[in-house]
Amino acid sequence: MPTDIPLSALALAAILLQVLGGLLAVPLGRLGHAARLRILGALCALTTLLVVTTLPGAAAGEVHSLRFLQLTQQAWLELRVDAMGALFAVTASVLCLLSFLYSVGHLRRDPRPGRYYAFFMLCQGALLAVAFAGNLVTLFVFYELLSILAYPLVVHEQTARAVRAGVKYIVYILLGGSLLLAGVLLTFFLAGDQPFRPGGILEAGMGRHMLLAAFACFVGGFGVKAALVPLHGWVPDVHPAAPAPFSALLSGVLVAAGAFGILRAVFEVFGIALLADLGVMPWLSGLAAFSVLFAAIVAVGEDDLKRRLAWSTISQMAYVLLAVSLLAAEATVGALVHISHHAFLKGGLFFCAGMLASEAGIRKVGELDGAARRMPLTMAAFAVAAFGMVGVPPLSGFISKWLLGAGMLEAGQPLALVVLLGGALLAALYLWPLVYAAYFRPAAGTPDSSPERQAPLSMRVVVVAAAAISVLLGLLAWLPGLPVALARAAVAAFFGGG
Amino acid sequence: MTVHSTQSAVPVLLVLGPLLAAAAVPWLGGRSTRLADAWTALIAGLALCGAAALLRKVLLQGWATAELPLLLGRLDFAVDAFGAVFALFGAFVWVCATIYSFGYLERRVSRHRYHAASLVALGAYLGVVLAGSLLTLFVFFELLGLVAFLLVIHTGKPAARAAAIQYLWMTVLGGVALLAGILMVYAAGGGALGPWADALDRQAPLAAAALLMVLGFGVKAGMLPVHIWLPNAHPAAPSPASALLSGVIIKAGAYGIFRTVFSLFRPESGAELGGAAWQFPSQLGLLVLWLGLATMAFGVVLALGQRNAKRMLAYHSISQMGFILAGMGTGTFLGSEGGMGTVGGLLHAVNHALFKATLFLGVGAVALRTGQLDMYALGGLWRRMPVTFALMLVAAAGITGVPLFNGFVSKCMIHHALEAAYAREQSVSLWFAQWLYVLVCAGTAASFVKLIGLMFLGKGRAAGASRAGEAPAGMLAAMGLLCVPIVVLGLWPGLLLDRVMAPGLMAWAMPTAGLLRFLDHYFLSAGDLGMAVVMLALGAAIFAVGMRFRLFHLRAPRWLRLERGYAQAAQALLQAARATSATQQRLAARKGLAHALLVAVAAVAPAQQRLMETGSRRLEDWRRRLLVGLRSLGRQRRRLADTLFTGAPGTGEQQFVEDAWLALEAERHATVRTVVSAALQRVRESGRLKPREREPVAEAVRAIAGHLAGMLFNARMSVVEELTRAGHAEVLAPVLHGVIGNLRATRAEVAEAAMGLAHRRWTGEDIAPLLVDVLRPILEKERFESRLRAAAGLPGAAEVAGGRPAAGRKPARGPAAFAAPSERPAHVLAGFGRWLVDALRLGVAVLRQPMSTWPYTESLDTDRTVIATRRWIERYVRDPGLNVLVTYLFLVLVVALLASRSGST
Repeated sequence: MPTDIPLSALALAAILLQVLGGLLAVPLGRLGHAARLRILGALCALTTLLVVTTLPGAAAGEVHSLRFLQLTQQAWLELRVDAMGALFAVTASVLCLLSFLYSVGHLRRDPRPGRYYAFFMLCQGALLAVAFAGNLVTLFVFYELLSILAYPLVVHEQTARAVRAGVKYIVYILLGGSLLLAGVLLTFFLAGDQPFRPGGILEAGMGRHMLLAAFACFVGGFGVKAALVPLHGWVPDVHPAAPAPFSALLSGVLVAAGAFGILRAVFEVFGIALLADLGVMPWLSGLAAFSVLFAAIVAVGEDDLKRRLAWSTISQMAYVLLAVSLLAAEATVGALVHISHHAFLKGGLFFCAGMLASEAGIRKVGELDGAARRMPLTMAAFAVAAFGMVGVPPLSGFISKWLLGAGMLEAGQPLALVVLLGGALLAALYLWPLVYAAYFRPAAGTPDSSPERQAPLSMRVVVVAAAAISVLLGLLAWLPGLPVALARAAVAAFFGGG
Repeated sequence: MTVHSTQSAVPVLLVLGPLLAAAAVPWLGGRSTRLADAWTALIAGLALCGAAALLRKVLLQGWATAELPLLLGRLDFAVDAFGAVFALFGAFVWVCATIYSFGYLERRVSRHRYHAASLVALGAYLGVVLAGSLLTLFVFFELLGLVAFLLVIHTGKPAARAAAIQYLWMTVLGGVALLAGILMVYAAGGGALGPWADALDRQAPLAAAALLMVLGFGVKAGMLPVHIWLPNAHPAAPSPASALLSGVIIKAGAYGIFRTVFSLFRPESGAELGGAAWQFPSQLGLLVLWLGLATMAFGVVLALGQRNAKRMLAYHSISQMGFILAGMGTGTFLGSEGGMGTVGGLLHAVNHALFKATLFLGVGAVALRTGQLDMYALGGLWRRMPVTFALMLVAAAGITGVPLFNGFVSKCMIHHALEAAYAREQSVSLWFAQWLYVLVCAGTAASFVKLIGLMFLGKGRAAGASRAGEAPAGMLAAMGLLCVPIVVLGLWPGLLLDRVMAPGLMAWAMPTAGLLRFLDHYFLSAGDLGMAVVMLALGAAIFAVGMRFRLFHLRAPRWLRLERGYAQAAQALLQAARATSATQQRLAARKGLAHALLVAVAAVAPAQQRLMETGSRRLEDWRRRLLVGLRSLGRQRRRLADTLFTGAPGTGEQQFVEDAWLALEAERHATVRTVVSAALQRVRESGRLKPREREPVAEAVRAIAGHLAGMLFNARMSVVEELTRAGHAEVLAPVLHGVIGNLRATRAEVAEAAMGLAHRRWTGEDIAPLLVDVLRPILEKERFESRLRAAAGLPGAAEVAGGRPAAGRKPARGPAAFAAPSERPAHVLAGFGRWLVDALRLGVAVLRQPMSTWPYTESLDTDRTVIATRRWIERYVRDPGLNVLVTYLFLVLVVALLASRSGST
């Protein structure tokens, strides 16, 4: 591939590939299901490859932008490849690839695979566009698109529970979307359409009340998806209702898209100096800290496996917001790295939970006793992810927790560190008993066979791959092109100028 | 500090070797148990050899350092004499325990899991003691703590599981405290295991960090308020694992505290003792000293009250860890003169590893043969198990501090250090500390008199005891191996003190005179021997009194137990979590955002249901009406959007604005193209510039022309919109293209202006402000508005400005004449195909479009389709507000439908 092709064109190509996949998913059914899977899988892999090729340039601090559509004379749709976007895009597309592979096995008896894969591909495209959005309008358009395209996946199983969860999802997401729209319009009114810029596009002279209103809209709008606590209601209901591979995606990257949006808004719409001046960040810190602890405490008492994991997602995503709210360089590195590391850890946990539910019929925490005998591979992967989630070295969770903690202390906020470590302790309290029960509690009945053996190969491969990625991201965290280096490149831009 | 250090691969091999080798154990075990055993023993033996080689290298060449590129950058290893000694004796105990385990684990099922866990723990332990930075230390410390869980839970019995869970949570708590402390150190700029003088100025956060680290390491070391897991976990583990836990793994905690107080929080060498630099380390040392004293006293008192032999040994582990901490604390308290205390503590750690491992293995052998651990039920075993008895006797002599055995030396050294501390401070508390120390030594003696006496002497009380035979040879060999250094180090302590510890102290720039003086003058001196005799006599007296008056059966009341407090706190936390979760679920089920909306929708749902019940025809009718309504809604929406955007009221006007836009956009592209080609031609003709230099000039011209053309476009467009708003669209429509076609003259002027400015831009000047000035004369000359008005026969600009009533002039519009309908394709699919082709062409054009940093991108593409398609898409998306509103309404409809369905099922 010639090197002078701007990276943003690659990004556009990746998005278009996914859209193509989405459009073709249903018609391709005529060629037979296997052929459809092969073609879509190839498209998905190609997309991932394209996104990964943006990494070296983005890590080197290059920024490429491409305006590809003019909406009005002022507003453009613009793609931009920078370090933060590339980090999120690579995380999203690798997890999507895993999720796709898992879906192949998980949906082997599903009556409506065409619809699922169509929306799956479109969702991935929208995710990439959110990651590579170069200005607020683009971000808003694709963010909303993503929310709406995810709906058919949420209700895919069409059970009464799924439909109810879907209603809840749509209500929350629309509420967030309208708040976000208000925020985007306010920003447009204040500063016009400008590309994201480290240091922010808004300035202190634009009127304190307007700026405060805009910030509240952004936090509210993105906060719904990022599951900030008063706005989190949909998360624990939607996760258990959605198909397992999509739950993994939902927790791993869709919720993270909200946090990603807040990062963009904080660093590239408002800018650190302005936010420090406005004095709103302590409020966000308080909210996030409450989210961390409250969600983790609820998770400890939760009996449904997937719901417990969903509460854990709420708690873990609040780490990101807590770190962002400190407006400190190292903490922000931690936040970015945590988005990526958490995606694979939580994705892995949901893949495992899906295996347990679909192959062994285990949906409740209490049914896990002795499950390691029957599902050795799954529970091993689950254990790795559970250890990583708590932050046991040398897994990836430790890296992000270390960066977050160091950043919090560097910002002079030992209370934030207490929240972080309290959250980690509670994470051990809600995850490790599951591992313990699976390995050391005697099984209730006599396990006659190993249901894991009968699970499709693709599911087993994905479960192992997610765990392996978490291990490697921890052990080799220093390698260039991995989250830590990318996050440092991104944060250098945010904090370098101001 | 001048430290001579050399790179070495040995530390990395020592750490990674066992970790990787552990992976092979289950595989080998699947083939043959013997193979797996041999492999485990081989790896442990190799680790021992490696540690010995490392110690030799360190003594000859100074520090050995190594790096491993993992985690955030790298893991550092830096080995001084102390670390190497810990590694050597740890590996030695490991080898012995592994040999012992072959005989002991014979009937156990999960033998391979034990061996794999043991190898991982070995690698992690070596990682802890060879670490060169706090991060490295922490990583291996956590790994060790978690793997030890597998050793504790090995038997899988209820007691083992309860103990393991307790151990795990204490480890997690300790790990969190430790992580917090280490993060504080890193945040303050520290992290390497060396003097960290600049931080000694900032005391407040430093004190918190030091306390957290001592607490975190203390959990593993069995330090007083956080020791509660130890007496449960050690007896629950199989005996070789108990030996490892008590002998080696808890030493990792002691080692951590040693590094904290000795290596990290210490001033640069040469700081005056009693000066400000030593103030904080001294206080920290005093704290550790008192924690150690409390731990040793507490441990020994509880040990005396135990019936279960392994439990008693576990309490002695707590107590002996107290000795070690007391030694280290005194050493730090005395600052640069504290070599005696520090080395005493370290030596005691080594000694304790040897004799406590032997004791656990011996008790394990007895349990294996008699099935009994209750000391009061055993007796007379010296006949049945003479070798075990002899080896246990040696180990007991070591732990009670009988002269000529190793414990004597280290206990004396710590005692001397305490005396020195008292001599310096003359405080009552230190005087008390000194005598408390003696008392604890006596208590230790008493409880080992009890252990040996009840188990091996007297008459056999239990049925199993009379039939017991000697332990298997392998197990005896392992214990015998452990006893060798107990005696050797007791007779020739100089082997370790003179050859290893003294150079170790010198590497940290500490004086070694006190240590050497002790070896030359005090070792086996009358004073120390007398003290030892006093301790032993006092111990025998305590034993006799305790047995006579049954004092050893006293129990502390339940409410006084620390463990109870921890358990209650944990229970409370779990209860609170469950309550919160339940409350949350109740609330979520009852009220919520979605709930409120559903209530609203529920009002609509019955109406909709009634509608469905009234019959299919009516429904069909309703549906058709809805479709028609939706279609007209779409039309209205589009019209509204167009009106808002252009200000033009009717479809005809909008069509006109559309046409004007397209024509002007084409003119814009044409302008740019003309200018650039004119510029290129002129450059070529003048011949002054070399071909290489032409490109930048052309580039600059193109950029400027693009900018100017864009501004022109905006100016012209606003004129058109202005006139449309004033109601002149109808008359302008026929003449528009003609007027626009006559604008060519302007192109030449733009070309002149652009070429005039190109050179300045090429030289890097910021010419954006100049562009407005350049454009003004061009616009004035062009007089677009006047031309339009003239062509259409409208009055001139001045008259309009005068304010003419627009209402009276509204022309009567003939719909057929004016609103030119766009030709519709014959088939929907054909239309879709055409649209697709147009969109593709637009996509190609966009991708081909060279990128510019200018606010107006200029395109060389004058293809009308491309421009029209772009306009088409733009028109659709330019009114996001309206679109979102429509989408919103649509989705609310969907929600209502779904809700009504889910409500009815």
